[in-house]
Amino acid sequence: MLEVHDVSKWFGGNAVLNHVGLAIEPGDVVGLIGPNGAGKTTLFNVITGFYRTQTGYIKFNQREITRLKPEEICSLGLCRTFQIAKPFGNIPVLKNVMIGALNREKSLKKAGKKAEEVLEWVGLLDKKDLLGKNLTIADRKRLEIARGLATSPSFFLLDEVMSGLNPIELQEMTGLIKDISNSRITLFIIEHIMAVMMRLSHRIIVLNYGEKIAEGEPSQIASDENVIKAYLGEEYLIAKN
Amino acid sequence: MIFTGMAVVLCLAILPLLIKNDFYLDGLILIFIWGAFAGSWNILAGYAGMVSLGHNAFFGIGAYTSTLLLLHFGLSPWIGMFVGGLLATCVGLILGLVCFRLRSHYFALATLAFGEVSYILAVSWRSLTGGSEGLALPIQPSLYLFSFSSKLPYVYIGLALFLIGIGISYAIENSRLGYYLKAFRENEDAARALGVRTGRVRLIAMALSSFLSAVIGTFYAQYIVFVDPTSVIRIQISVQVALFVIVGGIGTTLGPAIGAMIFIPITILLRAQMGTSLPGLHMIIYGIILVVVLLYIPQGIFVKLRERVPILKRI
Repeated sequence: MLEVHDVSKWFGGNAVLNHVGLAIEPGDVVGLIGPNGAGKTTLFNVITGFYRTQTGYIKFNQREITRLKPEEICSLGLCRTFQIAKPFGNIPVLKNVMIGALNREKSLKKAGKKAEEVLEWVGLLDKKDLLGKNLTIADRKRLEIARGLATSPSFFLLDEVMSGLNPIELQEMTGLIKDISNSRITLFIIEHIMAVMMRLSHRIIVLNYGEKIAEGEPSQIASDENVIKAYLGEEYLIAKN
Repeated sequence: MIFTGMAVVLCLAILPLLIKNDFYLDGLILIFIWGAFAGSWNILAGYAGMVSLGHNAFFGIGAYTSTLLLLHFGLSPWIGMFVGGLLATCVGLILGLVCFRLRSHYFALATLAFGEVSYILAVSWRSLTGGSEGLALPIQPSLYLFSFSSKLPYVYIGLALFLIGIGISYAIENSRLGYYLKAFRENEDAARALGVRTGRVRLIAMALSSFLSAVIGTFYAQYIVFVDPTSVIRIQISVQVALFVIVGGIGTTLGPAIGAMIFIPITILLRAQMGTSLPGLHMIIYGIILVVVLLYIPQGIFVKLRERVPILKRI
């Protein structure tokens, strides 16, 4: 469904992504982890057209999207959220979501209906008249997801939608993500909270310094030496042995 | 709401018949002209958040185009109005293509330069525009020449433009275009991630805004029967329209009209009363109003009104 082939991105002389490749099939839930600065968000930006890769190509549903703009990529059904939530601050929550829904629905009335359905799903319906800027962090994250879902994606990239949530909110969010996955939307998730990642993902990809250092089932990843080295340092491995 | 709207329109339509004094009719016409112009400026600046200080150029293009077509080719200003509108649209689109990559202040500065250059062009290109001496329009009452002996026809044409301006704002606000423009204004990246073609929607806003500005420019020229750089293309026109909209309520349907309704009466009354003893007093008053409004109701007067008056909530 999504094929990333040999993608690289340099900022000046600094390689943030170094010949990364991966493939994701429909129905997958794939986690993307790695230490800070590993290039996770950059990879999302490259896939969704905010940055352009300097090598290789990206295909979505067999169609090359390497050179498309973010808005065109979204219209193909590949949608993303932002790590730092970007609500439309001076617009009510309902209209925030309607802007997403207008991607598919041509009339405002239908978009409004769709937006209400999505808001109900993510549990924000009672806040639909609040302005985007007045939401709490947890609700902003939900709004990010709601707006994305409203565009009717077949593939959804979630960038740290769990950071900054308390344990109860975390549980709700995990349930929501499972729900989204069950509604046949393929998910690619960046997350730092390992316990959640282990439960949610079918497969995990690990980035470090812009390179893919491991890929596999959650249990494999947890015991992978390269991954432990990247997260905890070489000394840890030496000490352990 | 429709009923209330109709009642207000009816009142506005009857009002000129009750005013017998040409001085007040003149004030009414100016309110309509500035209200409509403020509304068209607001399409780009209010909804898309792209503050243009070059709209004097579009206003001037409208005024000059229809006037020159009339003087040289005898073309009726009714048609010249649309030619001017289309010309301003083309210029606006080119300006957009060049300047839309700039953000907020930088966009405002680039358009300011564009507005200033257009003024200098109008002053210097004497063979075309008559330079600072300006061009006088024929005073010959006829429908074809868009020229009337009484003020009433101007009042009603002005009213029509004023209402069309508000109607277009209302239509934009309640359409995909309006939602998309606001999404761009609030956060460009988020808008693009949701599939909003931000470049295209801004160009549409620019086209609408520049077209309407030019149409109003033509009407203004026909009304004052004289076109010169100072009256139709000076940079202060852009600054003034920005002032009206910001005080009235930027990014709202009725804010621009309210801005004009506040400032125009102040201007003409002060000019009439104090024009000789304290010329320019209205500028000081403008400044005071702007400061007070920005301090206490930064979103503009209309937003406060909307909170107080239930019927306005749905606009």
